[in-house]
Amino acid sequence: MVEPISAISGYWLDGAVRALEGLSRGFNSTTADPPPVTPYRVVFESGKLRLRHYAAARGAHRTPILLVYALIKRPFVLDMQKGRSVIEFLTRAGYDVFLTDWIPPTAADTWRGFDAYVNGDLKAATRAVRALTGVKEVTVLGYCFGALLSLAYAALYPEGMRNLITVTVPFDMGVRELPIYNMVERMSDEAIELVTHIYGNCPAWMVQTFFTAMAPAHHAVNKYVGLYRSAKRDGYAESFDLFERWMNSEVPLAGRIFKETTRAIFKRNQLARGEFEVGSRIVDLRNITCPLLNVVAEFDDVVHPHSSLPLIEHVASRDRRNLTFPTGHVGAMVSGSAIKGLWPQVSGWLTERSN
Amino acid sequence: MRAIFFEELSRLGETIVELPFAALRRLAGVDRKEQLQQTAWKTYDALVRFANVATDETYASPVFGAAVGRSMDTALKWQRLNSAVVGAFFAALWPAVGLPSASHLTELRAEVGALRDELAVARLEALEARAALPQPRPEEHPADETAAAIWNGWIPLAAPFAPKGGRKDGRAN
Repeated sequence: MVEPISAISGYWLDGAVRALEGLSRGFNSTTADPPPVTPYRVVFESGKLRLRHYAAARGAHRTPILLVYALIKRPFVLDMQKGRSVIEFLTRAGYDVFLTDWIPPTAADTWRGFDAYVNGDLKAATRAVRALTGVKEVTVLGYCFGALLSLAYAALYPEGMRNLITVTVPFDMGVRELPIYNMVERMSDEAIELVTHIYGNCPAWMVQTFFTAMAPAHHAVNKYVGLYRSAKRDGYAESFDLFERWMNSEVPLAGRIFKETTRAIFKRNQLARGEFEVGSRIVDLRNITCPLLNVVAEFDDVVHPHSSLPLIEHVASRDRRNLTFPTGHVGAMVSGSAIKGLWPQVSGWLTERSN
Repeated sequence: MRAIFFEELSRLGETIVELPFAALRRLAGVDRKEQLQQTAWKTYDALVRFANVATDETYASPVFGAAVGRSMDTALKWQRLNSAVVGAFFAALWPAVGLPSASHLTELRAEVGALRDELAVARLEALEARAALPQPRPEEHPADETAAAIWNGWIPLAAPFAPKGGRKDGRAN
């Protein structure tokens, strides 16, 4: 039976209540993640990192994967629904997956910058993975902001890297093809300083506002109309619900890393220019010599493809390539089409380089 | 303004013009209900595409960017003043009622955090030390209970008969 068109107003009301509830609790501060598709164990904790281990489902490849998730939003989007989970796919393909579940920063963590996350937490994570699996080299797979952290780590510690996979990495921020970046450009250094002065960390609602502002028509109305029009599609309503939960799972960004990201990476493009410093060491991407696979989402509306594509020209790896797939920013990790079309290609590339 | 803005605007215009004609055709019984619905959704889609392009054009505008930048600065400065006033008021109030201030709590959290980090380092070193230990050769593996039971019929003692203060897995034979 077709629902009456007035159902859209009901969907809209649900969404508005969800957003307001999120706002009132500071987004992720009190909500629990939905149950995972793939079982895991927390095997290590350090700083702001909780390391999860998802065991390979069959005869494991020797090299484990360290999946570095972004510092914004919760990582449950990577393992949300059966048949649409990257983690489920990788473990079924025979990989031991270790995921960085970042613990949201508190008022005592405003000092945390790239130095703490890369030289502290990521370094400890790779040491733990090596100790737990008994291998010397690890494949690091970074998504979005996690890919930025992975890049910095791979450039500073190239010796333990077996392979590097970056998915939708915001690398060359000189690319201004997404109009929302014009807003970041206009944010003065004084405003950035004021945000951390007033709030300590960049609050979750501010990060959420940035993402909502990227597509206001979509978030205000169109996604609810989309739900109405696709309600008959099998599983759509359930996916919508889980996805909305993830969209409202925003977490704050530690004060210092917020400043470094907006000033040094977004405004001054220091990473692509080879001038970005982490813990008084320059992140020289020419130190990266391991095989590199750079996954680019063709219809990415958060990180423009032109911002990701130049990465392979900046590393010293002989074995490097861009893999472009017709999907969006989140679709690269969540959509059924990516699980069927993109990840088998990634797995194929990895298999040749993992044993 | 980019060309795409005018393209989307003209597409929206076309669909808006089409809509009343589709409604009239439906009223006259020429078209079915589904055809009218299809035209209505086409207009809606054109409207959304136009809204997206218009938003992008607004964001790309230097005038709008400068205005947002200025208003953000102003709002944050006011917010800072507000926080300073509230902070000064409560800084005097908390000690008076015997409660710790926010900065004391932050210091405490930082101390706990530092302790957690120390523990994490120790745990990591222990993990690495365990991984570095030579793996025991097969004959050095402790005897598996099931294997022992098959080999010599040994059955572990039931708990109530286990020697007090001694090994609970003491052999019966």
